[in-house]
Amino acid sequence: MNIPNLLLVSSNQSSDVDVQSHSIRLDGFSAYYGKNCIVSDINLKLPIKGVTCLVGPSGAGKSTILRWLNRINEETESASFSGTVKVLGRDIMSGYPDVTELRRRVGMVFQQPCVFPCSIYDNILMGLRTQKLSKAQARDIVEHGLKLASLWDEVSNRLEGRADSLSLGQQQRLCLARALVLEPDVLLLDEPTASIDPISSHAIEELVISLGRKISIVMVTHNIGQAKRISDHVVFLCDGKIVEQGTRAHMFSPRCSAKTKTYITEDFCDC
Amino acid sequence: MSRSLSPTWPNRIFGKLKGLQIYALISAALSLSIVLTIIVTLFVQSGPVLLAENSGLMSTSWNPDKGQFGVLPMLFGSVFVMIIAVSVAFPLGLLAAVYIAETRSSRLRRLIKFFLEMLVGIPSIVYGLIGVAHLNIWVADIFDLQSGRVILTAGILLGIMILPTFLTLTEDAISAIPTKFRENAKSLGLYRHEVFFSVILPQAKTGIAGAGLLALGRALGETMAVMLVIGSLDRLPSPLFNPLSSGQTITSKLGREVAESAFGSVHFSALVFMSLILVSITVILTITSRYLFRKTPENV
Repeated sequence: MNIPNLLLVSSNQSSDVDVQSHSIRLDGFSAYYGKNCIVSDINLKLPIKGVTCLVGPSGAGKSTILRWLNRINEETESASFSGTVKVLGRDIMSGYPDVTELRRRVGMVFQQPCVFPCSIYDNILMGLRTQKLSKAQARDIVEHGLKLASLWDEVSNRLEGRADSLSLGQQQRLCLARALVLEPDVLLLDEPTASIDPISSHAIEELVISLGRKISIVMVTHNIGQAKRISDHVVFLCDGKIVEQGTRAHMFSPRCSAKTKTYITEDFCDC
Repeated sequence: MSRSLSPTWPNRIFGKLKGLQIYALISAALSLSIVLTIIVTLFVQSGPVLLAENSGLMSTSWNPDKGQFGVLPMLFGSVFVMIIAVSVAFPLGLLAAVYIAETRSSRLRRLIKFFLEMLVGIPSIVYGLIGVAHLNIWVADIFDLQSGRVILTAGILLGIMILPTFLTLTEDAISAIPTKFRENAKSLGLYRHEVFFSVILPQAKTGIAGAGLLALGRALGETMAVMLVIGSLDRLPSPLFNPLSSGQTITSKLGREVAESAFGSVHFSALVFMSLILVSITVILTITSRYLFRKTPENV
């Protein structure tokens, strides 16, 4: 049976990855809503594998950066950016003339769980609609995706049931499974645990840690404890600028800058 | 020493509320009684023709002088015109609504909506005059007819008239689907048309159906514009579904003959009976559309 090697880097993907040492690279990146500059002059290089957490107070521009990485922000009226954004070695504008290719390679899960008003089964396969899959293949993909998201045991007996009947935590894991069956090279997570219960939150954290060993994950979080638990790399943003970035060991050690220390310990930013 | 409120205050407030409640109750009862009066009047006034012998209500012959009041030509004309109107308005309206709702420019959306709402407000007689002045002539020229006052002209004109209503309500139904569904679907790499057909349409379809039924309700009730262009012929087209034949709808018939008939006569009663049919259809359409609108996501 032909089961896709979920989360394994495929041959055509590896050709990009081999020549690049970074999954994402931002040079002189600034983002705007109308004339309002939300983030300015960001330079950032994210590794091929590992979990990068974007932390910082509300309005720092974390989600704006994230939403440009798969160009979902271009759906927002008046949103624009300047500078260069490269994903897997290719410019997100000129390198991906078909934006859907970029979005398949850069998966995204949003803060609020959003399942489509159809069955759990159809939700998982939504992104694979154009692929000709046999019933057996489709079934295997659904099972594998749900197992990855630690949801299989809870929903295996009701795959044809409506997805919106699941709890919020289950819905969020379904959203993750839906993104993972596309075998993305990069996964963007915009506060995925902000609106769910601690148990589901813990399950997602475990999943993010294990996925981070295979692909690049960029996660926005307000939860410093969470960043400390799951991140390999931390970027601290405030007022649209990077205050400091580094490995987890550095950012959560006494060696970090005074501003970072203040934010981490007091959840306050004086930028 | 601070001044305390008099114990009579709550009673006064309660008394005022009671007065308002009575006022609201009377208003509601009045509205209900008007509706009931209309329905009862229609039934009572339909009595003479329903009880009259050989009135031929379900025949195709309408001849008041001979006591024949066959409503089938008018009923058929109404349904036929409605079908043509729907065929014109719905595909155009749906495509335009999708474009407006899915466009990123809110300024463009507001501008188009503004003009659409202005179109809804234009009196039907104005549409009728445009129909007489232009549509009538175009249809005659295109199909090489002596007169363009045929069922097709009425149907197209009615389609143009209900287009803004259908379009604006359909656009509302599509726009009501939260942006998060679009973003989630697009983040899975779905194309714009896939997002619409796979995610948006299944959720908006009940609202769109409701919009269609409300537009149909307007089409059914339209009198003046149709009366000016349909040709007013009280017989079934031959062949039956020939849109290039003159015809008659219930409303155009009522518009022409109500003033000519004597109150209390069988002729008047036959016209009232047609009104009863019209009201019944409109009530069914309204109830169905309300039910469908209630099922759309914005009301969940």
